[in-house]
Amino acid sequence: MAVFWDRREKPYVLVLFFLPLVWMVSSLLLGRYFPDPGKALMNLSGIWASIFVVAVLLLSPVARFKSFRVVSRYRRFVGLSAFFYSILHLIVYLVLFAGLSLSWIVSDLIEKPYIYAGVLAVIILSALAITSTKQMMKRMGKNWKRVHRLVYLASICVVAHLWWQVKSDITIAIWFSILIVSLLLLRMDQIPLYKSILKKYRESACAK
Amino acid sequence: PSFQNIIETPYGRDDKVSPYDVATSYNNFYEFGYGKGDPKEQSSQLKTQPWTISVEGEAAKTGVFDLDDIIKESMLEERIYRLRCVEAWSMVIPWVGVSLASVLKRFEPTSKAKYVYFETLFDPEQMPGQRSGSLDWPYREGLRIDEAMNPLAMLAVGMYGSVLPNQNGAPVRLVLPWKYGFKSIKSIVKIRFVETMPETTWSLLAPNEYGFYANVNPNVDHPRWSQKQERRLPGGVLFPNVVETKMFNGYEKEVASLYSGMDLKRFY
Repeated sequence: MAVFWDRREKPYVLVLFFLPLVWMVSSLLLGRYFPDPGKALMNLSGIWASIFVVAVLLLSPVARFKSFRVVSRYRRFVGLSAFFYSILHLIVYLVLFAGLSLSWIVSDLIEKPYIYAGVLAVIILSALAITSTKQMMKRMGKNWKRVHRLVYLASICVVAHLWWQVKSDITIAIWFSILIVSLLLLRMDQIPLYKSILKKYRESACAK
Repeated sequence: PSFQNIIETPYGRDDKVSPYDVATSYNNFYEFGYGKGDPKEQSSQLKTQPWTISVEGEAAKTGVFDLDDIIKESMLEERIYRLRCVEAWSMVIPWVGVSLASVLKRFEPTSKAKYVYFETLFDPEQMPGQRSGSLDWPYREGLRIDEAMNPLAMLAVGMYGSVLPNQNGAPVRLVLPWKYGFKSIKSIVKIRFVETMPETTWSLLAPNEYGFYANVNPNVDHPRWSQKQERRLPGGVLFPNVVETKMFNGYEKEVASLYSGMDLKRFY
């Protein structure tokens, strides 16, 4: 393990994260999504964006295990991947799905609430991507962590976005909900209210 | 096998027909799976001959009829219709069949026959998608009797000059070009004349999303997506072929009178 998890693996990990993109683009060019590539690619890019959001949430629980501690090295990269695939999803929607038809996009915006959940997730991920540099980290100090907790909100947006637009096959929505909700529950201790209850409980336990 | 001596009709002469491969490899037929490619891949087990249809309810002539006796090859005509899926994609397909009215009238529906109910074959052995409870099987559809008798309504046994491929609803299906595709029920085994509005599969599953009428209507959006436009398939590699959706899918002249005075926002 220790040998594999060396700096040397970095290029391979980078390639790994671009594989879904390579796969999607080559499938598109090979005509695999024919005759309605917009629909297929929109679903796929959305699923990959969701997978990377899940991956972001997975990192710190996994890093708690000693032998996997190195994964936190890829935090920034996994987060940027989630950002990247969410932007890809947005572009696919605008260009390949709606054909840049203004009336289509506008009517979706006016009437489809799930779009906003998705848009909010993209906005959050963009903000986190912009503030992901070391410089920004330094400049923001303590606030950096606070701001980057917005990824939890983004993950809730993903769940809402998925449920709002499922047709009858709810498998994907169920799986992502289970993953995201349980990963959020692991972080219950970060919620202020829960924190204060926990603190009181501990204090009373000590008093005895 | 292709049909001989199909009667030509003026329907759809101006539309560009979708390629055969597209129309036969990309469609919804949940009896064979969720994916758009599943129907073609999973439907080879469907046995379409012999095929009988049970005619029931408020009609003088009821019973079990052989499909070959209901639709004679000599009566077949070709009509090119636009097909608008509720999922906002569309195709143009040359169907082979007869007018639905010509068939229904022969069963002599009584004055109590206010609606017609249709049912798809239920046989999980032949239709693997029915092994899961995704929909409440069998697939059910219905029409008001005057809709069913409208000359546009068609009972199809073929497309592109040949018999229907299994994945497109063999051996016999409805084609209702002014309604969303899911109303055009496939692989029909039952026709029942009834007095009250029958339950239909999609409106049972999600009544706020799919109504009984399901007329193509750009002014009434699906709760989860707009119906103002559609992607006419096949699209290009990068750019879809976006078309403005027309009222009643462009068949307003033929069917609008069926719904005069009705609030189509309520009866969607």
